Amino acid sequence: MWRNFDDYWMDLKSFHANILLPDCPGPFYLVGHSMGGLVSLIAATPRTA
Amino acid sequence: MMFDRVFLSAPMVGLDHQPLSFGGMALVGDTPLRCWGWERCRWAGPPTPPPSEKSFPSNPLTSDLVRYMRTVDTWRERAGSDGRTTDVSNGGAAAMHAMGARGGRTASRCRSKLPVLMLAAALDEVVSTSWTETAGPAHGARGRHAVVPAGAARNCFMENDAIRAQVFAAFDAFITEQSG
Repeated sequence: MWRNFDDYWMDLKSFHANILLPDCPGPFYLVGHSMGGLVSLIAATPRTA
Repeated sequence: MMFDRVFLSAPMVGLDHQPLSFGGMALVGDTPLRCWGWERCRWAGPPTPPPSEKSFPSNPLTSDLVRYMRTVDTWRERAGSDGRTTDVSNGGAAAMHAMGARGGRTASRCRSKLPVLMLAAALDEVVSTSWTETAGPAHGARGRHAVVPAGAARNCFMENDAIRAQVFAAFDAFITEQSG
């Protein structure tokens, strides 16, 4: 259940830590469309990176 | 940094530069949602007919009929007996509410330190193409790019092959340049 906008950011961070890092070597390219684009932009900011 | 490069397609930023302010985001977002038959969303008005070949000329998402109909077929497979996809509607409602509640302020604070490529569709009716083209690149500290494929509607990845070729070429150039 969605609670607030940061939930999308937490989902992305969880995916990165638990799925991407254990199995995939970098570099990592993040592709986001529409609202996913905004979530991606948030992920690219120093505030949350 | 979690990621090395960021590629954004029609990001939900610069919405205050649209005819409707960010406060009217639900109304703007309602247009594409209706297109796919998501009229159960709580902000929607009278229901519209399910998406079909007839709704293609007025759809704001793509100018490619073949890819549009593929999505319509997928929608039909997932629709319930009443012709509606409740799970998608609920997800859409949550997403639009999130955007209305915080998305605008969040976007205004973003100052990326990563290479960012922003892609906007020239004919996008939902987000501000002009913002993405001009102000958008200023939000990236480096790798400031913006690409606007002519003739493209909102979903560039669902567009015709000529437009999609521009999209993939832009992506390839971005990765190559930043890797060099």
